[in-house]
Amino acid sequence: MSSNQCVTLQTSDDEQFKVDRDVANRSVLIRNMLEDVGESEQAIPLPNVSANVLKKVLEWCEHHKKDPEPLAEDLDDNRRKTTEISDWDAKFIQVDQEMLFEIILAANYLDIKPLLDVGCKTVANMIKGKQPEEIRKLFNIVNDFTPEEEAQIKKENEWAEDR
Amino acid sequence: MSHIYRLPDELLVAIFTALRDSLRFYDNGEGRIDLERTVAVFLGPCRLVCRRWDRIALPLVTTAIQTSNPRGLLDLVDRHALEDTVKELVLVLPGELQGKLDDKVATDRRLMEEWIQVLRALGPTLRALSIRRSPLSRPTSSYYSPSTRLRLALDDARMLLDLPPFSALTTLNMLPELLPGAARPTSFYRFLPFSHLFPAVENLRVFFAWDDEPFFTMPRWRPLKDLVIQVELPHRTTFLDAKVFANLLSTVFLIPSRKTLESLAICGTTEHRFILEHELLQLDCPAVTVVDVPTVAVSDIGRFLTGLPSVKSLAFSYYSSTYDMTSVPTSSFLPTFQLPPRLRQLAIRVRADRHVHLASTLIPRLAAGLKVLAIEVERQPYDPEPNSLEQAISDFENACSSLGILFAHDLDLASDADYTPCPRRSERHSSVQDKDGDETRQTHSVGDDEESDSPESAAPSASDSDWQTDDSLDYDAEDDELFAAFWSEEKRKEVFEHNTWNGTAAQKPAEDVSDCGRTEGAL
Repeated sequence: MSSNQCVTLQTSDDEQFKVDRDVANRSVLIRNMLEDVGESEQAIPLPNVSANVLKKVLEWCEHHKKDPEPLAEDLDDNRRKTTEISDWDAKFIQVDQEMLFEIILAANYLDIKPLLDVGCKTVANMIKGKQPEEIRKLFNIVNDFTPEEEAQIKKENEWAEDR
Repeated sequence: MSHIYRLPDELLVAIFTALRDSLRFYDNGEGRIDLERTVAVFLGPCRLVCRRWDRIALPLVTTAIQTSNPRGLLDLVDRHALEDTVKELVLVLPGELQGKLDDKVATDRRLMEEWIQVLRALGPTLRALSIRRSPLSRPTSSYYSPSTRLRLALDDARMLLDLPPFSALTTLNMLPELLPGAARPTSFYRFLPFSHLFPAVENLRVFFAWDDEPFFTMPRWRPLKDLVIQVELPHRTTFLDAKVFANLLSTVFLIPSRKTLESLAICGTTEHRFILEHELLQLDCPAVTVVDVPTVAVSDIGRFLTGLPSVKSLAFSYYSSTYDMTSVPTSSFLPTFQLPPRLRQLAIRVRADRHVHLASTLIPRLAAGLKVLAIEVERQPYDPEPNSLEQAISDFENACSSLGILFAHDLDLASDADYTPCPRRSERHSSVQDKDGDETRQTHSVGDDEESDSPESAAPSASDSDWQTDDSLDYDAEDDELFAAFWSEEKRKEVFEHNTWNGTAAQKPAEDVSDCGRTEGAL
């Protein structure tokens, strides 16, 4: 099968996307499935990804289809900085929160680590430098601590400033 | 319901990890203090968002801890069962203790016992352990009488020896600070009885006092990869005999680890330099890539470099005695050498009166592979500054400019205003000077009386034995004008057979870099 051949992906809401194989191969999940089924015209089901999310993910895959495969040590390199998001990726990920987390979930499910990395760094940047109340407000999170629990954690965090 | 609730724990961990790592940008291997701060400042607030975030963020927050509060750390570890979580620990010893003497003593003893408890709880899984003193700290033993100090030191030693082995610890930084009876930062020598507790150490930062016994046996650790030695010398001591120190290096550290050592740094006050003479200096570390030893004064650069074939970043002091500079009759004493092929950054500290000699030694060896050359000139407060200093700096500038090397120095020269790196000399004409340039050359040329008075500061000439047999060096033909002064007569005849060489080019500053843009006009 040549690398230019198309594959068909079927979303959870039964939409089908026909994409180049080298675009689809950005997903380790899809690549493995293609290797397992061999030559086949059948659509590959992606029950955890909706059409609007897959469309967005494929846009990323199309742009990055010629990127070299990340090395294992790159993936484990915990020195990667949040600022390393490329301009294109930063613009790509400027979406509402719902879509942002859908992309992260889809990247995780489809096993597209560079895209997952972009998503996580973006959320990390949103959190960075904010106080707990600001973070709760940003993500609409309910504070379920008792006052005693909250006081205890504040006390435990004090060692951080104890230098 | 918030969309972020949909993320499974593993993805929240990934987000928090990205947050934690976002400032590792500032972690250059030595500035680890930023890591702990990053973790605390950026992940601490996440713990306070909600219970789920607290549960997920806590292990990441406590992976790397810096604290001066052992009791608080013990409580945290006990409450959340974090014994296996803490991987990097920085203990900060306290500043001046408050209260009356009895209170200080009581506090000191309590802290010591609590630190021992911390090490007992966390030691087996720690990967990195550092001991730092608060900038305001005072040696705790100063509170005690000598007899009490001895008794307590024995108690402390008993407690330390009773610790379980730190089997996973690969990085150990100034642990001797915690050792018993420390009236000052305790030296590595005192650490030896406890070294068996740290069998896996690869990265070591230790302290030496000048009066330490130099011939002790290296602990049976695995060979080191990174070694930082901090040396304390008596005040007002300069240019010490390096024999003891060289023995220390070779017998204790470098022989067991010389095949594996990747980074070596020797810190200390730079005026306390160790002069490593030829027979003592044989580092011979084939894997080392970073050598940062400004406290080591090297007179034979070639020999020094022979043992460092893989070095990429190198900093040292250059010392050449008067004997070296004036009375050496053969080239074997200053053998021909080339810079290591992978060397990219070179920083040299040199006394002002040795600078010309350094220039004549180093300039012919500069190669295009070098990216940065930094010269720090040490001025002697009561010595007159050699007039040739500017000339030597200018020679460096011209040579670096022609090779595309970024050159930095700490002298305030008038010519610096015009200096910018420029393309290789081959891309521009090399001999045209405007009128101003001529005047400048005359100012700094051999006509200076002071230069002719002092052999050390004399500009290099063909009579320097070091250069007479040095024709095989690999530099560009375009540099002929600049380097002709360093050649033998035979080579000059060969190169300038059909041209004229006036015999002074190397002693003049080559055309100012600012001339690059006006060469064509001058032509």
